[in-house]
Amino acid sequence: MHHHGMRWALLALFVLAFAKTGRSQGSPYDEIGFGLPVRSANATIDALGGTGVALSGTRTINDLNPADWTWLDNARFGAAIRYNYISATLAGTQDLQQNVQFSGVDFGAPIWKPIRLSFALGYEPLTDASNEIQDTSAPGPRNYVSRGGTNLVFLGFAARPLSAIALGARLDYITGDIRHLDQVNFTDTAAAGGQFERDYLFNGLRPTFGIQLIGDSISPGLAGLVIGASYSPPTHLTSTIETINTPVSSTIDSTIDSGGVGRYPAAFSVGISFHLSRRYRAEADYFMQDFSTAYLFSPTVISGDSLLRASNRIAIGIERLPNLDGEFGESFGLDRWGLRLGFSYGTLPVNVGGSGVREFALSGGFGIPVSFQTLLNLSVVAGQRIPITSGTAPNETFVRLGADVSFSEQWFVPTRR
Amino acid sequence: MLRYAYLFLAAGLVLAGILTGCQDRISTLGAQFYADTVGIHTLVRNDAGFMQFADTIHPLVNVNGVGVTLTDSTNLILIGRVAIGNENLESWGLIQFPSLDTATAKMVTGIRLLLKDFAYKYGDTTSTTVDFRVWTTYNKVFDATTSLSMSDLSPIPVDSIDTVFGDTADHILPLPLDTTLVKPLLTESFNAFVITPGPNMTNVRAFGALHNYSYDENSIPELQLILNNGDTIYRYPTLDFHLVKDNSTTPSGEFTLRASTGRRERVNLNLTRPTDTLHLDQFTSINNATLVLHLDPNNTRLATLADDTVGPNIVQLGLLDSADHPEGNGFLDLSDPTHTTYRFQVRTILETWLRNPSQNLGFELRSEFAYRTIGGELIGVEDNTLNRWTFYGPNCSDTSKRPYFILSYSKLR
Repeated sequence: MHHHGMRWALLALFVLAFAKTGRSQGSPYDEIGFGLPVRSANATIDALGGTGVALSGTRTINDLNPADWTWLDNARFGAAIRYNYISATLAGTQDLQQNVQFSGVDFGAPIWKPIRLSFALGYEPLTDASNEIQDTSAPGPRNYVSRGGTNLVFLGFAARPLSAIALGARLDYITGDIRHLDQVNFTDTAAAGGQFERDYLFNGLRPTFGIQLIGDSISPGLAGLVIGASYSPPTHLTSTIETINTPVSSTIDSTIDSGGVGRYPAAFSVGISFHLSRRYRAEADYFMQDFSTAYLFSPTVISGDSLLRASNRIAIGIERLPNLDGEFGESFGLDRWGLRLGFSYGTLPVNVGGSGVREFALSGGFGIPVSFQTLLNLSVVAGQRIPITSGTAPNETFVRLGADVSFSEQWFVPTRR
Repeated sequence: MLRYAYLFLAAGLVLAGILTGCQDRISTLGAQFYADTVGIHTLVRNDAGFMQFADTIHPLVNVNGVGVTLTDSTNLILIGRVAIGNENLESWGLIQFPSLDTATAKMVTGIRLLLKDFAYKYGDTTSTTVDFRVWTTYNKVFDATTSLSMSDLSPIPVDSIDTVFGDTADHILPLPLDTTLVKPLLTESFNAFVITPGPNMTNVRAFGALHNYSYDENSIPELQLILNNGDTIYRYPTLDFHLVKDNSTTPSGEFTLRASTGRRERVNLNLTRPTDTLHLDQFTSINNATLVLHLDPNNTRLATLADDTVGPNIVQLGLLDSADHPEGNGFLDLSDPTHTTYRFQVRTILETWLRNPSQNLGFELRSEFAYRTIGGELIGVEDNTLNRWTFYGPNCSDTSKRPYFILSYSKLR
């Protein structure tokens, strides 16, 4: 009964997370292109510095590498939220923005044990374009709000045709609605305000492929080693700009749609993980995504958006795995928790300040056993974004708190007859 | 274990709640990266390329293809004269009653026209003198489009009255008519009574009309007939309105709006000329479009009807008179110490025209505006006063008094 109460409380929390928060604040860099990428919606991966291509995650649905789903032992349902705090400074001006956002929902399950065939599906953010701006110059203040971003809906399968090789493939439906809402005000009382909206709507399909080489099945000398990689090719987007002018006489809204195309860039990740002991593991990942050829909208095909550039990222993470059902021996209390630490360094896909922006981050988190195979994962990531040419673009300090619940309860397990 | 999980969840929720509930400073740093900023422009326009003014007189309105005089559905009959300065105006009342059957007509021994006062004066507002002449006109009045001159009236008046008459609502002004002259006309369908001002009249007075019944059923005119059997019967009009003869002159470079005559000023705006620096289009918000006019107080006169002295109306023109849309009154700019500056907000009209250019038929400045149901059509007319507004026009020699537009607009870059 107690466990049921917990379950429904957690479910309620994540349902509430779907509700829109009052603010759409974020990084000033979120205004550029698709917004800043969200490395992973998964709090486990976020706590590990964003590493996870070779996660071998038995209790989470990996959104970086579909081949990792072959590690799933039980059906799982996950949902996540995150809180972002961003403090930006430039030339003596400081801004502070923050938001709470829904961070995704997914479901995965093993289907056929002999080849560890599994499937998963989910919905999660790929980029975040949230930001609020105020321009106070004469003749009146203008409030600019950017909302939305790029989202991913996926469905895929993974299997181990050979015990040492896990392969995964998923179909990604990329969809986005980035809304720019502009409010004009006047200090002159004779003048009335006005509202403008420009929505960037886009969608496209792409495959994502993943592979993992599992050392345990290759040689005893490679026990505990997993090498993973995943690749998503560039995506052709069908894009639309919708411009809505709500004049002072709001009954005569003007709306016009312009059709065009866009391009979401290819992404490549490679990672290696190693078990330092039965319960401790470490992982290092490299990730690259070339946004220099990407663009949100153009009436015709173009070579790219001059405000975007190639990005890359290296990260390391160390984890003490949670001891949920005594697989690492008998333990109690905090000793059952999973502990995670990570570090990442990379460049943002924004071409500002002449030479781009670096990002450093430290991360940590917990995996808290809740019941049966259910884990509550918490993460905190703190870092800085610093333009390579100092003073040419905002410096940012950011903190990101994440929480996800990966449900796997007794009622997920089919009853044998 | 669960206790810790609850604790973390609660702490996280509280922390997120507190932090997101804090008052933030909205970013100014991101503006340089924002693709869809809004440009705001404010400027003053008084050039003919943007706006043209034209005098117009519209004494008839079109109702289902038929012309009807502007005062056909008035709720006030205005009778009198004003001759002050260069203002020279006379207004006649016209009332038609249904014909009487011959038998009853033979019994008539006395006839009175009863008018019910409406508290209103135009011109000399101190005078309470009523100097009226009542005439008959036969076979001249067919409908409200009738135009009459003295030669259309009976050779002699059927009543003359020169008396003091206080200005009080529903106060009855009895006009005893010459029974000998009027009685033979009672059975005629095309007889009408015309009331004109006498020489001692220095203002215009108002009396209730047939169309005022819904507001004040006691106010409509009556024809009182006294019969030889001691009975008295009352007849109610089938038609009543007033005819205004305005021989006033407007100084050069100025224009006049006159109620009850349809004397208006038409303003046309060229909003989307390709060569215009405004670059207005359907995605432009017109935040302010104020037409500023300067009043010539020496050639302006307003009646004591307070509701109609706020300011002239702006009316958006349609293809049909019934499609005219009032946009409201202008208002006096109290920041002008001379109290002669009027401002008219027309942003809604401009926004409508930018989105529907075919509807840009201009707008009119009218003395007043009231909706009347004429022939089943809802039509706006200025019919219940004689107010005269004179403004300096675009060709005024004093350029500081010319009309101009203050235009603020915004659009996405």
